[in-house]
This record gives sequence, C-alpha cells and structure tokens, in this order.
Amino acid sequence: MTTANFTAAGGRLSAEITCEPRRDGSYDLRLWHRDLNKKVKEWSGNFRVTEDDRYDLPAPASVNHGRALQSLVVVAVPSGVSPSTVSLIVRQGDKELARESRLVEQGSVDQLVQLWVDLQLVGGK
Amino acid sequence: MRRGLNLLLTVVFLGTDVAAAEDVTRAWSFKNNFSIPDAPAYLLLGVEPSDILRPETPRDLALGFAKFRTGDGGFGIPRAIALEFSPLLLSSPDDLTLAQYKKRRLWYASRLSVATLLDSTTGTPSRLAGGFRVTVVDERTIGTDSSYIESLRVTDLTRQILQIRTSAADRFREEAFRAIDVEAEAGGLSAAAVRERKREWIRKYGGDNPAQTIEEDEQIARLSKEIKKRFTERYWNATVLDLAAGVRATSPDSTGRSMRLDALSLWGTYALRTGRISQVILGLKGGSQRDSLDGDMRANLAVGARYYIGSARGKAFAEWQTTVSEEQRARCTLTGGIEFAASEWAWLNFGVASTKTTGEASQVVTTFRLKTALPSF
Repeated sequence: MTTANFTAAGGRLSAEITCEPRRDGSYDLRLWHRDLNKKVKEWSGNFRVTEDDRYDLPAPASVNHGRALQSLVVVAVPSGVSPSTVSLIVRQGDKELARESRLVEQGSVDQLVQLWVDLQLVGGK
Repeated sequence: MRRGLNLLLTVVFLGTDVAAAEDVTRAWSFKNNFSIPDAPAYLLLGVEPSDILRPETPRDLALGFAKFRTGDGGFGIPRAIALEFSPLLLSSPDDLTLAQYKKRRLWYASRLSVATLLDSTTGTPSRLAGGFRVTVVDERTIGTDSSYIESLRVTDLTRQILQIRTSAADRFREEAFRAIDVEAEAGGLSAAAVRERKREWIRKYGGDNPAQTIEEDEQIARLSKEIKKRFTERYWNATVLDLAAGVRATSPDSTGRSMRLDALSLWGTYALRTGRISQVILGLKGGSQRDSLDGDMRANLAVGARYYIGSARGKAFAEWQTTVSEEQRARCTLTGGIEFAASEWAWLNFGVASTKTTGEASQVVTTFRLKTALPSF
C-alpha cells in the first residue's frame, strides 16, 4: 500500500487508472472513508479509451485525509503478447503524488489486480 | 508465471494417414489455436506433397511427429520427427518486455530446426535435415499492441470477471474486518487501533487473489476461455512473412550409413489476411536436389498458393502448386479440403489432392489426418 501525501493548499486531488501497453480490461475505483468500512464514492471504467480514466476526488482536498483509494482491475493479456503494467496514480493538480503498479503477465486474461493508495494530509489543515 | 513469450511445447502428430497418400497439411496449436508450422527441416524430409512452408509466429519450441503407419497397415512409433526452436526465446527471462523483444525482434524470431526420417524396416535414421527460419513480418501477436483494443472487444467479458472477483474480494475483506471488530469489542481496542489493524490487514492480505467459491471459479474459467477464443478468432489469419533455408542428407540404403548431402532449399512464404474469415498463403521454394540415378544436383523451383476460409477452429482450404525441376517434367498439384478442431486436443484434416505431371495422367489421393498438440511445459 502506497501513501500519497498531499497538502491542503495544493489543489484538487485526482486518481487515474492506467494500463500500459493498453489492453482490453475493466476496473472499479473506490474511495473509502477513513474508517475503511464505507465507500465515499465509486467509479467504473475500461481501457477501450484512456482519456476518461482520470477522476477528481472530493474537494477541498483536506476532506480526503485518512481515506484510501482501492482499484480492482481485470485486464485481458492473452498468451503471445507482452505483459502490461496496471497503475493507480494519485495527483494533486498536475503533480504526481503516488503510483501503485502491478505487472500483469501474458496469459492472464482473468486475473484480478488490487491497488491501494492511502491519502494523507501533511502540513496541517 | 510463465516464460515471457510463447513458452510453448507443442507436440504435433503430423500424420496418421488413412488413405494411401502422403501427408498434406499442418497441425494447429492447442494453446492459441494458430497453425503449427511445418519446420523447414521437416519439409525437407519429403513426407509432405506440398512445398509451401506455412508461416508461423515465433515460438520457443515445437516438436512434430509424422508417419505413424507401419508397413503392415497398423500404427507404430512415428518415423518422421522434427524439432524447431528459437535459441533466444528459450533463453529469455520470464519478464521479457515488449521493448526488449522489439529491440532484437529478428533474433527472437530466428529459429533452428532439425528433423530425421527413420527407415521403415531397420528403424535407423535414413535421412537427416537441418533448417533455419526467420519471421520478418508478424502482425499476429507482439506487433498487435496498437490495434489490440479496437479489434478484440472483450471488455464485456472482463467486466463480468471483475464483478465476480470484486464480489469475492469484498466478501474476503468483510469477513476479516468483522473478525477484527469482534476482537476489538472483546479486547477493548481503541478506534485508532482497530483502524490500524484493518490497514495492516489490507497491507498483508488485500492482494490480488481473493478466495472464490467453486461456482465463481467455474464462471471465471468460462469467461476466460471465451476471451482466449476471441483472441484466436481475431488473429488466426493475420499477416506473417517467413524466410527459411535448409539442407538435407540421405543415406543410400536402409542401414543409415554413408549419409550424403542431397538437397538444399530456400523458402519465402507470405500469409496475408484477405478478409475477416479468410487468408491466402503465397509460397516460393527454390533449391537443388541430387538425382538418384546419376548423382548430379538438379535445380528445382516450386510456386504455390493456398487459400483458407473459415475460422480459427474450422476452415476449408484450396491449394495450387506447380513444380519445375531441371531435366524433369513440370508437375501441378491441386488440393482441397477442410481442417477443424474436433476438441481442444484433436484436430482433423480431410483432403483430396490431384497431381498432374506433363504428359501423364492425373493421380488423385485422399487424406485424413489426426493432429494433437500440448499447450505448454
């Protein structure tokens, strides 16, 4: 589990799911409350197009302190093609704060990948 | 998990002739259901009437067996054995990346092959052949990254798999968290301590493989199989260009002694997608072969085309081939047939071939062949 340290004044937080090289696949992205038992919000998507895989987190950024992002991804990487790297990237503005990645080998057409990123406010509210 | 590219041991039974005819066509890969190549060394054994080398995506290792028929009409150990391998793919690391592959693509796509034909009476090798092949163009696998998404369309299936996996992951997590809550209640843990325990659990167990029920496993297996099927159906007829060369030595008698170089060949073969369900293979072979009577080497040239229509699992084919040799009459062969997968392990091939040599009557032969392949090590 990676931690994304953000500041209150650094701008809006966003999360992006990527798959490189791009493969056919689907994902869920969840933002968990601080107590981890309830979801604040949930998004779904796929990798057919990559322009819409970035999501803004609730504003102001400070409300996300202690929350956790979880992404569940299934990517179809059949035999005979190169492996793909699936990543959950957290940014504040355009600045990348954290990146959690996992390699999906060829022949993994049904494997689940879970990526977690903790959101931590630094420098006080 | 597995070797970087096609770490694939493919065992191909290339011939169980039912009719009194020579072997005609090739087998299919079980793993991805693409065609299994006739290795250059295998073709030089002379057990195939066709001189067209079927192009194929590079693979680590492939084995081929043919000529199971014995002299008394029964079945025995194969008399024709061939092996083709890519040295670089065999020695490549498990995490071979696309960039690494592309950097040395021609090296990875270079394969060596060896083959032998055992004498039908003594069982000793009476013919040996060696070959080299390189795949110059291959749009079937590695080179398809950019067009992969647009053409494959399996997102609906990955979504279904994700739902099953997500449900299992949530169940797994909820059970663990419930246990932590119960423990906290009994032990009087603070909210912060409970939170930390749960975070610790995620760090340790919130991984990629939640436990599923048997039913969920079966559902995922079905969806996974469908994805592989769609991949194969999409790429079975993709464009591939192979260049190859080979040499052969033959013994003058059944003892296998006094082997002598008696043939060398060069191939160029181009498989081209002509439509969603069709493919044409254009083949050219030039070489030289020793005349069995006077011992002189004679040049020969063969030109052919084979057309497939169907799907990865079943297709019809028609082939034309003309062969001209020094001081011999031209020979034209027309072949038609079907090949299909009877199951995931068995491939059947039916064919009818008519051969016409200038100045002679046509000869017609029918063939039936059973081929099987194993997926991997």
